[in-house]
Amino acid sequence: MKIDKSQIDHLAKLSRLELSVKDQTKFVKNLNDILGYVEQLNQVDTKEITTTTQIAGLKNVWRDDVVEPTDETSKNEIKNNIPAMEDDYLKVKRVL
Amino acid sequence: MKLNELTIDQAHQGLVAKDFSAVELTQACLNCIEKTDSKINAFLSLDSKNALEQAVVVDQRISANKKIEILEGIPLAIKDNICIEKTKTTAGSKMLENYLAPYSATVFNKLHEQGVVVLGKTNMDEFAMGSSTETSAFGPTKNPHDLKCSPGGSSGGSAAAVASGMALGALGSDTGGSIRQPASFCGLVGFKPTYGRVSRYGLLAMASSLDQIGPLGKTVNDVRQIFKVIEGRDDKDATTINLDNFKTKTKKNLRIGLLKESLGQGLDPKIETEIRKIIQKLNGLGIEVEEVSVPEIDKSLACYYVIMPAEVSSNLSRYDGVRFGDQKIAAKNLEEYYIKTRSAGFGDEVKRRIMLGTFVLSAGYCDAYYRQAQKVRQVIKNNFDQVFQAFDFIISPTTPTPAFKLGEKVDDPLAMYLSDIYTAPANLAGLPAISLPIGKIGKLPIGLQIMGPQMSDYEVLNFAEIIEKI
Repeated sequence: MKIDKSQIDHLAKLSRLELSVKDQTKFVKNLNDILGYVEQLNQVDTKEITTTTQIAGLKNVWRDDVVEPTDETSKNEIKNNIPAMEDDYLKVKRVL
Repeated sequence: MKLNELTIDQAHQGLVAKDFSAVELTQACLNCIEKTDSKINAFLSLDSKNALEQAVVVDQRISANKKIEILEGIPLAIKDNICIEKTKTTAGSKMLENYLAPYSATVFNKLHEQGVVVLGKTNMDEFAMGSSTETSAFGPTKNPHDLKCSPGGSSGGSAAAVASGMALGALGSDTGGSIRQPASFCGLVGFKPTYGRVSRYGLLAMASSLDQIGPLGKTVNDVRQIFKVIEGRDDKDATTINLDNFKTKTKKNLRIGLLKESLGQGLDPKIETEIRKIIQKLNGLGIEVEEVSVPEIDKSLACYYVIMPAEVSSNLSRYDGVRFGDQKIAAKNLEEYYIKTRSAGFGDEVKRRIMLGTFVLSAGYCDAYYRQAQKVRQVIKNNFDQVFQAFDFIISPTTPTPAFKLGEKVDDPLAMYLSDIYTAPANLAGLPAISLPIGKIGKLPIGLQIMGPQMSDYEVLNFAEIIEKI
């Protein structure tokens, strides 16, 4: 598998990133180097193997859904990190 | 001996005997930071005021003849991807340059309850992505043993802080070797616990199925004392394991495997020589060591470099500039705002891994890359399970070379990734693994890694202590 410039552009778009022309060239090379290296995974016979999702073997860890009260201080600490707010709402550019 | 150079155990004895106060101990660390950190760049932020206030509280308890805990009054440093409420938590990224955590990580709360003195937050590769601390948006950390060399990464700030006497111990995080590799480069003990043994609540996620918080220190016992406090089930991290049913076994007739795949090509022969010397000494104690093969272990790094970026691309989608970010970015619409925020806020390595992860998860490639990697991960885990039927522990070098020069690998990501070649397998299989110093090549320390079966954390620490003492 070889990645070319148009694929890098597509990946950047999917990743919500914009790249300079210099970056495009660099990332095409980097990603091809890495994908070339990971090709070796195909040498492993995995026909009989089921996919790992939880390496420690835990299954279905449940807890009750309990509402814990949040104090004003924590609310303010969260709000203080938000770049743009109006009243108690996050403010973003219009979508539609 | 200077107070800031004591081990945790020695410092505790000194506090109890009233040889010195917790304030004097903390001040010794702060003085060392003031004197040397302009050269090392281990800390991203310091909290001297809180540190000294905490030390005063401990001194009052000592004066009142209260029994103090082992870690009480001990100055530690914390990696900057672990949240402390009202404190800057940047994860080494411009994206979070001004982020003040609104809550504290479980590991911090546990240390705080013990009366630990937290000095500040340490430098790291951006969002823990790197093996040299050079991807930090706030400049690289230097190796205290040779300022031209990298301290390793991503927990390079934590390692450099402890190695230069700025803190008695530290917390790091390890996704593919980020505690053990810097410990090895800086001549320290670094321990990655079993996956799920320590809560990740409040750790800025990189690759959630691999990330684990753990301690760095000067001795195995120091690391054990910190680990004892931070381990345990946490309702806020559903992947943590209930420890009630596990007992540490004291084993006689240890069976040790030397990892065959770690020898030969790529390994600095001087490191192998040092490991052979350790093996001879173990033999002298009646502990037999034989070479053992973990058949598909040589595919670990390839497996890691598919699974990790996949999880990275998903975890880092939250950084969109809406809940934290830079107000000043001008954009026509929301999508452009996301794009501009992310492009300005992330460094190259982070962008590279997000795009790689996006690729291996994308339609048409997911089966060939991501699913195959997940299956290979299971094969590697099965290989380890089989080897641990016959062996208690597997030893190997921690890294193929001692610390490399700053700038040496920064333009060649694949070469940089290869420094995690012996450490990544333990993350894939969820195993506890420790690096401990076993000598030096010139000025630069080298490390030995011990891996054990899942949940054999204390057995691994006990065996590491045997090697430390020979």
